[in-house]
Amino acid sequence: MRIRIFLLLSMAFLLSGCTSTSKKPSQLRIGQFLFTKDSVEVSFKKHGELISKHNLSYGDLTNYSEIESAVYDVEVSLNNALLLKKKMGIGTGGVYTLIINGIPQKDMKTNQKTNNMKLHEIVEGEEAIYANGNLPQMRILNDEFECGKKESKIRWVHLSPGVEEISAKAYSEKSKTTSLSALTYPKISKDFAVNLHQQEVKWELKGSKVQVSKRSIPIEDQYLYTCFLLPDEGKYLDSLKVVIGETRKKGF
Amino acid sequence: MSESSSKLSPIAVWALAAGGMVGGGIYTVLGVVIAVSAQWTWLAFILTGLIAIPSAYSYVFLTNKFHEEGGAFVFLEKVNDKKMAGNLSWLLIIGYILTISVYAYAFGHYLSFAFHGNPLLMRLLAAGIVIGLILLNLAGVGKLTNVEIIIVSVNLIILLALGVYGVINWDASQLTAGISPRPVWSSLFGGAAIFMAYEGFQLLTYEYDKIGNPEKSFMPTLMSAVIFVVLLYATVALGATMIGGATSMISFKEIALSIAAETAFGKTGLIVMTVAAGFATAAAINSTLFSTANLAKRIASQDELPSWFNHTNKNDVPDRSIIFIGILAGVLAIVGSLSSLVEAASLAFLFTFGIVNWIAYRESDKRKWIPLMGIIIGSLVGLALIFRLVISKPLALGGILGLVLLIILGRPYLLRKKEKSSKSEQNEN
Repeated sequence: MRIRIFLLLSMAFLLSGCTSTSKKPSQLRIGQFLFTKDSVEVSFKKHGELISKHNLSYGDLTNYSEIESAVYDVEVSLNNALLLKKKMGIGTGGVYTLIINGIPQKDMKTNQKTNNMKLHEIVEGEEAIYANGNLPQMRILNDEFECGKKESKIRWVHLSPGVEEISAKAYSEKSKTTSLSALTYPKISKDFAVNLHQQEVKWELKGSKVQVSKRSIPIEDQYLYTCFLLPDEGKYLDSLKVVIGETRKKGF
Repeated sequence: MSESSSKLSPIAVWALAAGGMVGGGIYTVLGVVIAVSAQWTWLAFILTGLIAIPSAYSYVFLTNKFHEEGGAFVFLEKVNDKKMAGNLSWLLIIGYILTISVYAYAFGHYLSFAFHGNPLLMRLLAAGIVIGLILLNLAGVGKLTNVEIIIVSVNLIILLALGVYGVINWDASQLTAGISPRPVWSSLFGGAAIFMAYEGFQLLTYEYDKIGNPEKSFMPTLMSAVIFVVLLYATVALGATMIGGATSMISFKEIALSIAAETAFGKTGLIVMTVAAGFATAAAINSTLFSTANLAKRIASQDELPSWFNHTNKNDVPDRSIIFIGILAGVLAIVGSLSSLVEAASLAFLFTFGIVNWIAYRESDKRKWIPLMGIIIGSLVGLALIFRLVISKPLALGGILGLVLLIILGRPYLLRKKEKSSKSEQNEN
């Protein structure tokens, strides 16, 4: 009996000794991929108080900046009209990308959604990632990843509304070709491991040999490369624009 | 050795019941429910726990009343609903196959993650563990009760430690890290998707004849085990999410607890959690495979399954049942997606538990409110799950309904055909 009490007390002591009171801020970057020529205003508010404001042009991907853990009201405005408003949680020591995508319509309501999208959100919550009739939407991507030694990861996000399923391949002279999964708008692929060689990545419309984009990516050790595949102004559907975000491994 | 000393003690029954639930449940379902319920994930586990608790009561009440092992199939036979017993037994076997596939899926993912493995390694591990345990069972060493008790006890301590550690380091912002907060009603849909996490306790009703003094000890032992697991799940849901952050729990849902353990305790945490998950899921696969194969044999012996399943090898093991169930589960683990497997299994068990609660309600003279509570909350959660499947996975739901139709229409046809052929054989003789 005494041994049991001793073991329980030791466990409680050990657990309480491991507690930490300091909260590390998170890292957040913002990708403005809403298909519009005008600049978009993204603001973060906490309890009604403005914390930060960003004016971003199409295709902009900011650098990571620190943000305190809290639940924020994130607002996206275009030409002084509030397009999107959403509560978003920021945790402790996380790494995130906030992406805004879709095509803004004239005289649209704030947070306009199709009925189908509303139903999916009710039953699937955070995993309800659908086209929403190509209307504007925003979500946070988790940029934390895991990889082995002398290895990096690559993933890609289909953010070209109206463009059908796209498949992707990554290859280099010194390593075998990696087939990345085929995606529909606006889904994100899983992370694929790649060797530390320059990777040629090409994207094709699935089922055809029509190449929509190609990029050469120099791969550094312990990085996650996120390729955002966007509509190209003026060449929409013929070729797509690729914005690449790099995230250094922080470890869990 | 005397008969009483070879019986399972209340502590052993408690450990097997709690371990049977936790064995594969929490490892695989946590990320699925966080995606739907966010900061209310703990409530989703409590809500579905309120179906598991009355269902456990109903299972024990009926098993004690009929004094026979065999679970829902036997209950229906005893109340003279042989047709329903046959239908339900087929559905139950499908539920168990799905459950084994979820456990194998989890085993493959947890081990593969620890070795920076690729999807191929994950599939090989999932298939390997099922093949290994099929062979172990065929050799007649399938049920290692004492080993199982040690594994589940260590597993419970590790999970409790992780949950308590997270709760001590209280950080509510992690519950919605990288996601949007969800309304409280979302716990209904989150809980509906993962109900299978509670199914494990009822495997103990198949071991009724091995339990010492069951009339006195089975009810308090099983009830306390189920209540403990409900609280454990809620604690782990809170603690692990506060360590790992909601978005990582969702992104890495297949290995959510490894992520939390590595975040909290580094490589040591990862190793401990991988070992715990590996042993726990392997033990859960083993006990479910063993019990399901014996259930299939029993059902076949009562002409509710083709007699092909009744075959035993020289070790008196239902070999064909084990091979058939194991291979089917292994294939599903390799080709299925986590959410679909978990949801399909959840639906099968919600239906089964509903039937058991209904029989207990009819058969009991007092405390009728307990099974009634299980029926009401179970129906609500069941409807929420069907609604979720209609919207998010209509094809998977179509597949499940197709299987149910096949059972209702195909089973009598198959058994009638078998009856005719055995009659004609008798006439020829």
